[in-house]
Amino acid sequence: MPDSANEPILDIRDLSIIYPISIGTVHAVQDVTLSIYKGEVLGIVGESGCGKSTLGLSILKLMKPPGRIGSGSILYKGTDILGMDDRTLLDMRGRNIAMIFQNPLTSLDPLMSVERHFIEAIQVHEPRTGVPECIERAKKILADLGIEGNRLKEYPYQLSGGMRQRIMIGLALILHPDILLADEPTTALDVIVEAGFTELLIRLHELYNLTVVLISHNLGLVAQMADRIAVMYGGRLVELATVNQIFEKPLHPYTQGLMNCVPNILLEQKELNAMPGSPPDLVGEPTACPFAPRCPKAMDICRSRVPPLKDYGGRRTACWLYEGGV
Amino acid sequence: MRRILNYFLMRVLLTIPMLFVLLTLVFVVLRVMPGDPVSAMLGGHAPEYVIQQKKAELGLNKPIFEQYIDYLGQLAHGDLGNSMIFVERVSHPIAQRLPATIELTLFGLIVTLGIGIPLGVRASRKRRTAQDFGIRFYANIVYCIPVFWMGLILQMVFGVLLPIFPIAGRVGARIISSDFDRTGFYVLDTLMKGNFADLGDVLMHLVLPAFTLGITLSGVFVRLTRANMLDVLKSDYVLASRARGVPERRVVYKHALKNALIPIVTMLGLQFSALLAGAILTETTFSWPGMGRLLLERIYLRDYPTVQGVIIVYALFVSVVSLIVDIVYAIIDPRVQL
Amino acid sequence: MNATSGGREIRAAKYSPAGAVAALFRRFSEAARRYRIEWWILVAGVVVIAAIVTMTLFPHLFTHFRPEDMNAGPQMKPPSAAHLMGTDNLGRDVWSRIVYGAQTILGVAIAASLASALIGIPLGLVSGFSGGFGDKVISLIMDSIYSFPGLILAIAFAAMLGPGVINITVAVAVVYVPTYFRLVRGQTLSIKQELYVEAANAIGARRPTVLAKYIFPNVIATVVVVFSLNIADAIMTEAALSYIGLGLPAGIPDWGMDLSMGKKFLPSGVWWMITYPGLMIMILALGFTMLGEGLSEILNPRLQEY
Repeated sequence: MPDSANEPILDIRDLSIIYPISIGTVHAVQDVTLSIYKGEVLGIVGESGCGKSTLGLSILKLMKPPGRIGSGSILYKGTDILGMDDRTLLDMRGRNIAMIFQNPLTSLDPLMSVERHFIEAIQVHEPRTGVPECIERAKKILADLGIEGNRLKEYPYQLSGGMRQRIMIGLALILHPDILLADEPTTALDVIVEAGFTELLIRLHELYNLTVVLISHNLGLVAQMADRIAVMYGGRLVELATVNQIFEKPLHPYTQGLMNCVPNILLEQKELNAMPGSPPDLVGEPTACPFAPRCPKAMDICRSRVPPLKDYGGRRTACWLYEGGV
Repeated sequence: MRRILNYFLMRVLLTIPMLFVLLTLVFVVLRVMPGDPVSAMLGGHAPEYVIQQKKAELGLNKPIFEQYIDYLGQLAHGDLGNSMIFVERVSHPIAQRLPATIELTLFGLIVTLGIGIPLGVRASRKRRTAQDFGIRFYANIVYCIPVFWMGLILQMVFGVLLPIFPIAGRVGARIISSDFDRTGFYVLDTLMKGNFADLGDVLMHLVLPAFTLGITLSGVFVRLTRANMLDVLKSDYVLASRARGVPERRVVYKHALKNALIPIVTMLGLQFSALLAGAILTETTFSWPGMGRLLLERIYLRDYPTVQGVIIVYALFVSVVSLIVDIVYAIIDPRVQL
Repeated sequence: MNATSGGREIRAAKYSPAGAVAALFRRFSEAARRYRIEWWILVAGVVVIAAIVTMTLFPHLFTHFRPEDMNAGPQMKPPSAAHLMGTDNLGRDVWSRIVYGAQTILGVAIAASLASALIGIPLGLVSGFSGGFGDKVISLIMDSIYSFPGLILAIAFAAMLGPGVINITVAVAVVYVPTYFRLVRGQTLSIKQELYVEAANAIGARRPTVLAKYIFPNVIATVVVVFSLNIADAIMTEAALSYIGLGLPAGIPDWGMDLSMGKKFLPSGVWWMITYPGLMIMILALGFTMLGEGLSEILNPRLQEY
């Protein structure tokens, strides 16, 4: 939970990630400022291509080529990750901040047994740990995940999707990192497996005293787990608030649109709304609110100036509608 | 163990139809075409009755079909028959020449992979940079260089203009060939005798032919390695291992290259016949006493059984290599069960 | 994304030749914008091929020596102003032999590739389309030939047939029949499963109609690419056969034969007799490879190695 006495464990400041391509520069992430506090679960939501995955990868400085940092910094406990030398960076990845990915089916090396994955994950950070100890630790963590120790000898192709995703988590947590970045962790799983997986993630969050950054387009999952939600649109952060605030009173028209897209049994909504229009073109420097073309409440100013992210009593949004206050 | 043995037997059985097809093709072509061993041996001016007598002796007066059945019967007993020109078993010259060809192709293969794979990996890591374009340019140029011309150029540069390497044969004239009786693989023979002066000489003779063969085929492997590495480097497990803090070198060589090698190994089986074809031309250029030379010498003499024998041995060679490729494949990939 | 949209364009265009030409034209002009490097590779290939084809058609424009003229100059002299690429051991002009030799190698390579295509494509179409026992037998034969080193087979055929331009063409053609057969059969098998072919079958189209109207047009894009790459390969096989001394009677100027001649004088440092013919073989093969590679990126971006 955000707390003024609590220093952020991860502090993203004015981050821009750009992709130079033949027809111009794509601004995949633009001017994002976001603090993540110890122990919280922060959900990052938005439609595909909004920059949420790029933001997640940039926390480990793993942007897909040819992406690079345009400006800004990412402070982990006060040190800028983007300015780290290679050794420090490698050591930080996996040990302090770990990440799990969307597709568990392809996230394990098909030619390596589960055991070798664990041994590698430990030994690249602690070269002096012997193989028996690595296996011992792997068994312990697998027990927490509800997987029998004899699975260690198996190869990825012998395991189910849910099993592989749990092993991915085990690999991420084996070194007890502070932060877990989860990029669409349930998208590739079927509904039943997803439910079990979400429970597991909630349990691990407490068990391992984790800070979790949950990147997803699945609002249901985020609502279930997150303390705060950051909404991204067109590479920008457009709204940041607690889960309750977002679900009770979304401020940004885009967030409002997102809420309308969620089927909600309890509220007996009459029809399910799809948002009109398509995601914005991110090539070039924007001169207007990127959501303006799709926005039902767009005004003249929206088409000529980019709205800044402003604070409204503990929650933030970037929209000209609230110039005079919420 | 039993499974592996069964698999092995299956594979061997599967090569029989291929051998059969090739053999039939060569058998028919050899006999339908003009020219025969008797005229090749005796010349055009021998009296008719001598020619007929000789033909009967060799069984050439029988109908083709009957000759074919006789030959197959012989083969079924593992017998390649006798030469029609020289007084020798067909297996004799083949046994002499085969090690030379194997030695050449083996070293050629080492050079090919030694150049092709590292360059391909490098190009994939430096995608769309000057290095990448340079390496791809090399691959395409080299692919279009005829093997024999590469041989001639290397001979000219490193044999004549800069006389560093010998340009013909497997050993220098001063070395007595009876030293090489054990296996016929000169590198192995000299090693076993501990004769390092001779080993040096043998290796010097191998350098140009092996590089001729190796460089010309390396282009294919550069392209293959690059394409597969690009695919694998994009994969999720590469990203996941980077996220775990695995150093780049280890990501590339331990995870990516190992996975990229699987399709490369498969292609190796197919490319091997290109290697053998290249070996014939290299043998011609470097007067290398291998199977290719034997084939050419005996084709001119219309020595049917020897030509057929050489073709069979080449086909067996190809099958054995593809069997080895399958086994290697099963060793690297846990998903494959023999 | 490109691959599917391109495939659809060509597929949709099969009903009218004019539409097909228009679609192809669109595809090429789009390619010129999109795949810059591939486009230039294609252009470079076309330029090289055009230059050498011109050489074969109008050799006298390129040299005033005759290739068999032994009095063209002094014997075995290095390149000079009078003889750009020097003279050979018989006093013939090396450049004039290259100019006239282009006819032999290009003619044989194109004729052989055409012959293999004309046998391999229909065989592959029919075999893949009909299936059954006949398909199995033909496939077995083709696979056997394919897995065997092609040059060895070509050598056997060339030696048996004896020297002659037609004979060497046949020997080279034999090697490449399986290439077309396997390619076309594989594609036929996969296209056969496509919905529009099933639909045509369902409304009772006759089998030859389905083959000619629905399957063949879809195979042809790949065949064009492979044909070009195949000519490059055939060029090297032809050169290899004549280098070994098989295939051509002595009177015909030929790059491979000139190379084997030059080989004899290599130890005495006569570099020009081997350098130029080999270089020409490489350039010609490179031209067709570049054409094929460029075409493959543009016509069918997902084409694998064949």
